[in-house]
Amino acid sequence: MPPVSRIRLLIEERNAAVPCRYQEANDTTGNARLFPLLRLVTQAQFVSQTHGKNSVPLRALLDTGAWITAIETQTWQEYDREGFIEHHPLMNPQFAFIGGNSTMYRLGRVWLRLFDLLPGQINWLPTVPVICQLLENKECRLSAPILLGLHLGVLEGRRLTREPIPPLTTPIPLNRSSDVGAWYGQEWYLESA
Amino acid sequence: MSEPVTTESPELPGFDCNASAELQELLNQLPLRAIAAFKLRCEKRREPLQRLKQLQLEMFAVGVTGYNSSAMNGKPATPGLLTVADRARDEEIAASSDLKNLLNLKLGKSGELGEPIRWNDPRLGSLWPDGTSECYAKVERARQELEDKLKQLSNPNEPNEDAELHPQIGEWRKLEEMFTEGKLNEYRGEFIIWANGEVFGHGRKLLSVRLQAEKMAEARGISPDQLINYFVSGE
Repeated sequence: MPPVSRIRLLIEERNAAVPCRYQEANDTTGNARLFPLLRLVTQAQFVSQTHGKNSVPLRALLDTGAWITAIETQTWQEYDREGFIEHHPLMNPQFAFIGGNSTMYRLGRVWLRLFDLLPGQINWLPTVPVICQLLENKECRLSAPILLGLHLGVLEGRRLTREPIPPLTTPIPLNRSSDVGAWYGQEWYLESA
Repeated sequence: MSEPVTTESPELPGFDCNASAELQELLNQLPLRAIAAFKLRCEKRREPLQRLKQLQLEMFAVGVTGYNSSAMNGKPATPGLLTVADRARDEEIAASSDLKNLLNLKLGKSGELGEPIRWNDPRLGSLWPDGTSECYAKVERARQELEDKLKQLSNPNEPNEDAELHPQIGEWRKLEEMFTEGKLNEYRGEFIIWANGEVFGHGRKLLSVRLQAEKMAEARGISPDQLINYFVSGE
């Protein structure tokens, strides 16, 4: 099964620790409204360039606000142990501030393949090299252990599109929190340009 | 300004004869570039319908029951989805608004090239001035359903090569299903280390959890190669 040129990304609705409720200024009913906590996610597989054994895909979060891809400490350490990470020594120490914590980081390169899991079928985009920040402070927690960033990663040479669609008006089924784009009037795709 | 380049009456793009007289009169007053922008806006409004027809053709071509060859004649294979009268009415309202807006912009005289204008110039307003046509909203929903159905069709000519991607891809699928069904909610925001339908460890700190899980698994005669790291999304 060859790679495809386009995969669908997922919109995940998460449970916020403190849900964001608000009132419309001109709503006289006083009803509270809730901002859904939506995240754009995909399935990423670490592909080995040396030993030929790939990882099981993992849910990774796509965040174009992150300048490059970042991986939490114990996540990259495990994939390093499994031989998936090439280290790129930095010329001087580098710091990042994440979630209220500062952390030193290393730079590394991994090879990632993104998946779209469908019933009876799996689509994937060709494997690409991804430069990533390997965070050193174990207390630094990202929105997901792997945050796919804007530059030097899975978006290189690709087109990220958001297609507006008429939102479904039915309640979101309980078992669809991992793929709710249709209820929020949007579909996201990543495709080879 | 521009010189006259044609004297032919511009062709009104596919409207009902009764309604088209008024529109035709407005269209005749526009310069050529404005006519092109108008025609493009008419095409843009019809794009969802075109896409729906393509999808219906594809459904017929791949042998999905319920789709017949009428799609090959350019007709939507779902009668009742929208009637010609409803569609024509909505399109004419939008077209009339476009023509009036274009005339108000005074882009030039009939038969001249006229000032350049983009089809999506904000001064022309939205494609559907009264909000998206209900007919086209239905078309859009039908399009969405067909896109989903097509995505879910496996290709019968392709072997199942899941195993080539990873030996444990079947287990991963099972975990994905469980996650989607909310059966892994207690592990939200954590990794679980999984093999043979059992959780061998869980936590956010993957390396520590994994090492512990490998020990547990080995004690039970399960090779570390069989353990899957699965991240359960969540805050």
